[in-house]
Amino acid sequence: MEQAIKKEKQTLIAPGRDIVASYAQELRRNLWSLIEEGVTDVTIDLAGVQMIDSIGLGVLIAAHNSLKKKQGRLAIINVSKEILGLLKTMRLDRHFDIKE
Amino acid sequence: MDVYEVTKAPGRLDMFLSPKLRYIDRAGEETERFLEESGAGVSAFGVLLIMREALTNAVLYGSRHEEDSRVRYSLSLGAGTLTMEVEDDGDGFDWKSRTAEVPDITADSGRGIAIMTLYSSGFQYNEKGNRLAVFWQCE
Repeated sequence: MEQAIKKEKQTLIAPGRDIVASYAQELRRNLWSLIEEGVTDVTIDLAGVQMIDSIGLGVLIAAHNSLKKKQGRLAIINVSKEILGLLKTMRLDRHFDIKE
Repeated sequence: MDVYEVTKAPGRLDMFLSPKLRYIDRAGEETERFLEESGAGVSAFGVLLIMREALTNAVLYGSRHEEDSRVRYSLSLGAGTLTMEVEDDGDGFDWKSRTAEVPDITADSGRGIAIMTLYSSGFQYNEKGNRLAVFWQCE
């Protein structure tokens, strides 16, 4: 299951499952709760994530947009080759802070 | 009553579903098995990504959201081509007005057609926009 490790205004979220339509709303709620609590730097650990569909991409983009308004950022780590390819294809590698 | 039916034959997978998001995950598992067993020689990631785009659209926006609403999903392999078909029983949509261009990076939606264009060999909608066929040339 999803894990979240909080440290002041930074949080690491490890979904541990694909970020797709059946899970996207839960992740969206969790991210919004964190942002409302004042978290400004969120790192999403994609270890074990094999797929992100366009609904999932939408959640990450919306979270990034909200964090950016607060001078924060969304970082992504442990990205698979296929998902990195998708992010590059959608030009989102310029948007997120990605660490492979 | 929820419906979840799977029919398998050599080189063919057919599913008949109630429009539920959880069934898309199960369709993904069936699709992975089909690609492994059939040796289709196409990118599993691309097929699974487009399956999710097509079925999510059918479930969230296409179906009538009524008790008897259904979604059909199939994969078939023949003559060096993998074909995916997705059909819902809704009113369709104006697919001609959608663009294949990758949207602005800050847009949190609108990537479906771009993904299908980039991750398949081709695709076509029926006139009404409630049936989609996607093709991949197999290696």
